[in-house]
Amino acid sequence: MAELTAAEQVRDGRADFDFFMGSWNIKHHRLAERLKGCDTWEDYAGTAEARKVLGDLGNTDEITMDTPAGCVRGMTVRLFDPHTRLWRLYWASNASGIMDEPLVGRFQNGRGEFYGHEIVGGVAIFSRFIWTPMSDEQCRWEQAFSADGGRTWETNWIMEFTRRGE
Amino acid sequence: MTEQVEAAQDRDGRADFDFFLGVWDSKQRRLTDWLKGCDTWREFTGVSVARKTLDGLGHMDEVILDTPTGRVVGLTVRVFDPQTRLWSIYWVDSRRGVLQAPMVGGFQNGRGEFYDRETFDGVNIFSRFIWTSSGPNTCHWEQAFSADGGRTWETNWTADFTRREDSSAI
Repeated sequence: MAELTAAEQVRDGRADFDFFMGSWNIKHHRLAERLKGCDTWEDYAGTAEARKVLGDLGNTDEITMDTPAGCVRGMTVRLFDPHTRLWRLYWASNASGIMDEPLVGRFQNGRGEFYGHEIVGGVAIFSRFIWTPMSDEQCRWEQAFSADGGRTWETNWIMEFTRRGE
Repeated sequence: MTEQVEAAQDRDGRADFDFFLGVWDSKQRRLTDWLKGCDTWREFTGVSVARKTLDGLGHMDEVILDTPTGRVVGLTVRVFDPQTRLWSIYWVDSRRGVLQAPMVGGFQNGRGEFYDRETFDGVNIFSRFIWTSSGPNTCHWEQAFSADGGRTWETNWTADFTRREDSSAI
């Protein structure tokens, strides 16, 4: 494969998470129960720190969520595959003990969509992340599950990020 | 959290990779061809930076390897499961954008052993990491493959780590 120029590399997708590097405050909105028709949402505060790894081909973040039961901590590893131009997003929390199977996807027209397949409560579901950068100071992430093969989606977790001043 | 709980957590295995936190220089030795009876080794150097994540339940290190065929940047993520008391070790390098299936295991008597089954050149193999720490400033890692169900192992990559006292150059 011919080497890409630096300008071409920036456009191939590897720069598409650059907006998220740095320190953020988070407003978490979490559905109290998933895939049960619940409409009760819980709000928590949190923080995120994101930085690059592997040169330009990856990044990692650590996220906190302050709940009455304690601080939930999560980490994400995002890896860009220059051959397929797809991102893989891996998640682990202080409750999981392993890295989950990745969600896979890319940005198009300023919106990132990433899909995975997992087992939740004994049910095989599709999972989806949507990333929306809004400005240098604000961005948004949401997670949805589908238990009917992608016909309907239930959003169960939203994070609203505001960049933290130094 | 009480001191007793913290002490119990320190013993459950989550602290077993703490010896590797910090900045390390390494001498890397890599077998030229794997599972082919080769006995030619290539030597090169590496620099690793390791830190905690997930409030101590995870570790992450980045390594820069200056190999004979060019610079490779690698990332290792280690996640500890308090229920099973097992570590899962994931590796990815700058040549491919996929986290490899984890090596799984733990430490006993100061020696860490981690195993996985994978496919190498179309052959079904077992792979093994061994981690040993000797004092606060040196440690050793090696990787071996077995193509006969674990009866015999060929070590194909080793690394001897020395802690870098002056990490200002990183």
